[in-house]
Amino acid sequence: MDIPGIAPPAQLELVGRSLRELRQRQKLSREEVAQRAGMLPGDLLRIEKGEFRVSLDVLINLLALLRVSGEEFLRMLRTAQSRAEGRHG
Amino acid sequence: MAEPPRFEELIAAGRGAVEGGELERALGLFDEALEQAHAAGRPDAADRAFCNRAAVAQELGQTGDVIPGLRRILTRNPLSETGYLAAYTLARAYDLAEDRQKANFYARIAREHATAIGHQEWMSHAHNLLGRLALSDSDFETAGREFTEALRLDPSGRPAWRAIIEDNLGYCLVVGGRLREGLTLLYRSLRGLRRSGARRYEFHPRLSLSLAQLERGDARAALRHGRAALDGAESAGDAEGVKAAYYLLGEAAKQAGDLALARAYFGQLQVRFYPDMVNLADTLLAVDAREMVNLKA
Repeated sequence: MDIPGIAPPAQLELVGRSLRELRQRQKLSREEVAQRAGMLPGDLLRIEKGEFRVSLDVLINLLALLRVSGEEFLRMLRTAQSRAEGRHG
Repeated sequence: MAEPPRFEELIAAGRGAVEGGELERALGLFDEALEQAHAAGRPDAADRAFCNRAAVAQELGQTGDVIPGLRRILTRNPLSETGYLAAYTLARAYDLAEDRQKANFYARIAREHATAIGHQEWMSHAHNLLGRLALSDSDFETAGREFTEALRLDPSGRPAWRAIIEDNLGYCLVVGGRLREGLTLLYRSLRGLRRSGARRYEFHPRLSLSLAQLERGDARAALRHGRAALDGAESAGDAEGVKAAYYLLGEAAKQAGDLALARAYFGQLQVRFYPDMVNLADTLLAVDAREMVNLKA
């Protein structure tokens, strides 16, 4: 994700955190989402921790499963960014 | 008993066809070799032909259940050429089945067989496979080390083979932010494939080059390589390549400020591959997913 002012590893962390938030909001377990997205639960954990890049298929499946639009996802990322800045600033 | 007449010629011609990217022709040659070996009652030769045939069929997407046969061949051919071929093909079969743990297990066995029989070229192949498995796991550091070793060990100077490894290593370097070194390797990879006439594989470095140029901020070059990658992947019938090309073309058009074109490319991606995800183009227009996506996963 290209969020100005945040280095790529931190961006990946924000993305992971936002995906975890979406999953928890829909009361879905990690195992459930991983199975439906065609991936291992351990890989989903690594994505949520911002440690793992995924294939295009998995990314698109995840966004579809979590029923999130681009605008909404971007809003979540910006909120997460503000929170992170608040903590560090 | 001597090996059937022409058996070695058929195997050699099959391997030559693989090297030149003529996979259908290679499959036919290995089929003929297998028939000859059976007719002559030579199980050793039949095992070799079976392994070669299975490897090519895999590349062509014909994923019949070859695993039990390959396991039996591996058991009865310890530390041998055929054992190596069986282990390598098993690793590829598990890789295609997305069982990374078993794929790694057999890839390491393949490396041990190649090392034990002192076959440098196959050691290079095994390191490349281990690198690709690490790449699937988004472990770019391990992948980079394995690809570097694969290049170092490659004695053949065969441009197509080196080009495939150079593309893999170049991609790792680009993702790791080492753009200049990555670009050098990727252009070398493209030249190698052209020189050897293996046009079937050209779309791989084209995809990596499209990403690298996006990272450099050169949207026009990214579009040029993306279009060439799309044509190549379509010709090769590689759906994953086509998907990646549409995605990169959309990102490149977005970077160039042509949002209508970006929407058209993302729209093609959605219509052809994700028909149920009607808001995909909007999502990808709003979000730059480059940092999240591993195009070689």
